[in-house]
Amino acid sequence: MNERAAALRARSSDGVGRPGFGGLLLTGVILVILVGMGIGLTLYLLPGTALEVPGNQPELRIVQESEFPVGASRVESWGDAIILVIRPEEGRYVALQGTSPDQGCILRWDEESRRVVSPCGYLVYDLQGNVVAGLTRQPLRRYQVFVRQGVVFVVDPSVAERG
Amino acid sequence: MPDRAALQRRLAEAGRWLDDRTGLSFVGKIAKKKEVPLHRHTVWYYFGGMTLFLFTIQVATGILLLFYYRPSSEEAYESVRFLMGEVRFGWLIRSVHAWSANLMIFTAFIHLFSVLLLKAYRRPRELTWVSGVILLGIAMGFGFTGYLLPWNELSYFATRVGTEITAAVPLVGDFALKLLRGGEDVTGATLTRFYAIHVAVLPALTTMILGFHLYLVQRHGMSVPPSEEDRGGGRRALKFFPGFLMRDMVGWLAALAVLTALAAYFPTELGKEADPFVPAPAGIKPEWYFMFMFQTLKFLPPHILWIFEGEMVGILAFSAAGLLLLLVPFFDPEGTGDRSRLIGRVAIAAIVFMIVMTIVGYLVSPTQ
Repeated sequence: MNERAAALRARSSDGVGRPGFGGLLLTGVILVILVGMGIGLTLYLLPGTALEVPGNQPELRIVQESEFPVGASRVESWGDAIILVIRPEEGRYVALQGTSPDQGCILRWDEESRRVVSPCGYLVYDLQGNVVAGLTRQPLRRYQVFVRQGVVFVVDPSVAERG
Repeated sequence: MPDRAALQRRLAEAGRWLDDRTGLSFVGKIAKKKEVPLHRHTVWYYFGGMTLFLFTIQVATGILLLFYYRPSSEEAYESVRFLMGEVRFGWLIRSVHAWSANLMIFTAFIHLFSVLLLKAYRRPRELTWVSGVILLGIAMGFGFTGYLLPWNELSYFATRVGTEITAAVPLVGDFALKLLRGGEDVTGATLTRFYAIHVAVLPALTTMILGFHLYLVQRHGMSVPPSEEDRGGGRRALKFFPGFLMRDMVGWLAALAVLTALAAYFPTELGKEADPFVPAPAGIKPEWYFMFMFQTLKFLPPHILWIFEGEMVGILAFSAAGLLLLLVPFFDPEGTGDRSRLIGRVAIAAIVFMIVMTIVGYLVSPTQ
């Protein structure tokens, strides 16, 4: 026992003795803080979803094809514009202006009659956005639609030209 | 596992190699030589270091915010909303940045007034004082320009009101307003301009002036207040390294604890997106450190002595007060005598005035 104590004393006098409990604790705490900060920083910097500013992108992501059943429709906003996206049949998508040009009412897709109708007045449009019935002549604006990697996108030609 | 002694030897060799090429060991020598006087006002010495610590947090969180922020009127608000809603810890980084800015200016004010009241600006520390006052002005500039960047309703209209004040400056007011805004009104051009000032111009200025300030602090050491010198105090000293630095770090940890608590419990809100075409909401107020000036200008009558515009007189008075503050060491180079006592009394009156007007600014109705 005495030999061991003497050996420890000798090592301490060399300045290379064992670190004390306080030193170990401090090192441990600093390590935990650094690792925690490192993990937090990595999570912060790893991109999750990308920011898409509405009205400022040449294309608008709508939804995955698998979540868009045939016969269904979706109303999406894109900046100031409202867009009605319809999937009338398998493999075909249509995107039209989502509000009536005169009253600004949000339009509805009627699957049974395959027409776009206004709930505010008697206005009926076909899938090309042309007026079928009602007291207006102004057709609906049409948007291009494409599918990329199973996701439906709408393109605004004016924004695409600007971009 | 390598022997501990061998590891230490290798580290020492690496240190020598680095020192041969950089000569950086002089920093350690200075730190070992440097001493901090011990007396009953020593506590005020910690606020300079605390301000510096909060500034480094500002820089670190500011850089992190740059990874997501987009400086245009179309994207700024959306990018901050995205940061707060979608990016992990994004809300925390933004909150820490905003709260540390407020705390930094608060500790900078304490540092400035403690230096003023302890007469630490005396010869030969005139330039240390001047650079410090300029740094406080820059810190307030950081706050003013950074406030607009989220492009929300509150920041938009507060900036509109804040920049409008420059128009009241005689002769060059309209020119200064246009220069500051980048046009007639606060628009996307103002945002881009403020962004450039916030992330490039002010940091560059800060780096230069802060470096100069720290060099002077190192060169002249800490000042012992005249009252302590008269009492024979300040003869005892504490080694800067490790004693004072360790105590300084305790202060930093305390500041960090307060900062994280504020950021976590009171996260900075984003509010509604700025819309230049809607009327300004009631109760638009500037950041707290501009409140005393804002409220004073509101209290001034439209015309003083039937000739001068009240707002113009107020702005000129604040400008003159700022200039006098900058030149304090040249009026009182020794820190003793009647003039020095007068400066001390004026400083206390100024502190009371600033506190009272700030409280009044938050209490009175926005229409008053």
